[in-house]
Amino acid sequence: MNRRIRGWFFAVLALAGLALCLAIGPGGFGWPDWGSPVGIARRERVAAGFVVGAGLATAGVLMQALLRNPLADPYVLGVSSGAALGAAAAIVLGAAGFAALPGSAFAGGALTLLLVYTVAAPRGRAPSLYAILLSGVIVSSVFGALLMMLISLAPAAGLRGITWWMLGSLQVPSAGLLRAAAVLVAAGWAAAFAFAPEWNALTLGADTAHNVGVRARAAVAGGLALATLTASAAVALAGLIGFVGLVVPHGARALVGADHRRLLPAAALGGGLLLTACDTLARSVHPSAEIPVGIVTALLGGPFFLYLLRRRKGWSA
Amino acid sequence: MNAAAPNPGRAAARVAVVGLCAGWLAGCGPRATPPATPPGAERIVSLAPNLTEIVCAVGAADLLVGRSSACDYPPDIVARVPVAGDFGRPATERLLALRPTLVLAADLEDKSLPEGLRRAGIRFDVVNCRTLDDIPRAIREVGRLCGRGAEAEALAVRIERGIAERRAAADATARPVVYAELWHDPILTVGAGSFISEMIGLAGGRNLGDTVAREYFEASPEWVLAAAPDIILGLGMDGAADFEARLRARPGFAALRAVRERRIVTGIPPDLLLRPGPRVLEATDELKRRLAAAVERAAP
Repeated sequence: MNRRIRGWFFAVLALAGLALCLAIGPGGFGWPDWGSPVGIARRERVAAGFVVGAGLATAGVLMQALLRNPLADPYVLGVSSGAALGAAAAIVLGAAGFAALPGSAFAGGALTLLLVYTVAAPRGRAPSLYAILLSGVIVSSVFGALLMMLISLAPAAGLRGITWWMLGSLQVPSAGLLRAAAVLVAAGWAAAFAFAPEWNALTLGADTAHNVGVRARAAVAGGLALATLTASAAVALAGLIGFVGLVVPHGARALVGADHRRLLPAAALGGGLLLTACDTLARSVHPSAEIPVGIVTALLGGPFFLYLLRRRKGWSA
Repeated sequence: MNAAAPNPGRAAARVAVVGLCAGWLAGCGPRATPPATPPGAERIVSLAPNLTEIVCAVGAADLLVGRSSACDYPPDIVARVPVAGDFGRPATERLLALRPTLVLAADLEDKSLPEGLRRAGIRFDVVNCRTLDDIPRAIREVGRLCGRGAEAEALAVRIERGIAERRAAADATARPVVYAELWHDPILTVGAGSFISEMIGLAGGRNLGDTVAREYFEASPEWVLAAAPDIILGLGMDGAADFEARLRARPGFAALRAVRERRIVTGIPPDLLLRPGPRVLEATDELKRRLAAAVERAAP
């Protein structure tokens, strides 16, 4: 099948899938009355799943293209550990207000990338990809240690909040927060889409990109910033949800090819659909209780990734 | 506090000091014949707030040499008792430095701690309070352990009678459904079998979470919304002064009838409400008063 036709087919399928997710809840199957408490909660929940999934998948696509590494995901440069550290600090310090935790998580994620990039760059020159990756891994593990320290100091009641946050959850604390995250993810995605030809050139290597007229250094720095923006917004809203940002870009590439003009829309749609579907499962399997959505994404995403790995027998980024 | 180094001279001095204190207590205590402290209960450390309250309520506050950081009642007594660590998570060295002879705990994070303490010759007892009926039982147990059996018996009987009276008086019909929120992120509520659920019953309500046979569980927000509870009770464990604002911000909750009609009950001190201890009757009565006031608001 033609890749373009496949893309449109997938888009229609994804919208149908989202509609299905709206009809499924812990109470059973069926459309709720959209003005009722249940209706409001469900549509915001599905919207949150879509925003977070799309944000993580967009960040994953960018990271994999910029770092030219199929194992890259939104968290590879420490966005997750930085955001977790920010969130834990907010919980331990008892910051008030329901924007305190997501706000400090977002700031933690964004500042971490800045730190990783600065550490990797030798005196104002462009850092190599290896330096960025290494710096990301080391900063991540240092922040991981700090996080563990905060957790050991946390009051017993706060521990539950941190643990749940690290497993990821789409229980949105406020509709305003959801809108803020949606705006950030949409802006990040639109900017990434506008520069799709740049990412295409960069996947061939910085030298080739330079030869076709792309300012590689600015493009890499800008791309990392966009990836961090969308990933931090997603993490601030829902905590650390794994696998979506790693698996979806590969799945989308298998579906519509490696051209970022098609890959970015497909990944955003696919990420939104995958996470919403996983969350529908997480909130519906039990009539009154929930399981953390991160467990579902890992249980479904891991085997799916292995399936892709076996089918393709190798990688073409 | 100095690290406890083995020092025979200091140990002798310690015995002398304890002896002096005991003598002082025997001579100048408020009672004519003070109860004898059984051997092994001279220095008590309580690692749970409700047990600290029970120790004080049975008249053994003067034996208390350590507490958890969560023990905050009675305020005048806990202010002079040093902290041996967090609730269920003692700092072992600090605990040992208090030279306890008896350690009381409810739940422990480190399950190997009791064995270590017992090897060090320290008596260790776990006293659990999961249901209302566990409370008088726990009071008798603590009373027996610290040699205040008579006081404990009187207190236990008073609480047993109080619970029985309130059970008999609780109206079985037309009870408002109460959604009790313990924690906000994720939302955590109480199920059947927790003493809080029983207290809601005695206070004239019906706990929404009673359909789930667990003490506490992470509730699905949609399930709470679909159940449309009559009253929303913020238990205050997260110490949130802005419980109502937080509730309204959550998708769908502002459209709930209970929220629209402001049948939201918050502000009962968590040390009273969330503690299965000697003040359980006071807590139940306060809850009953507040639930009734919320129902009044619903009436036209």
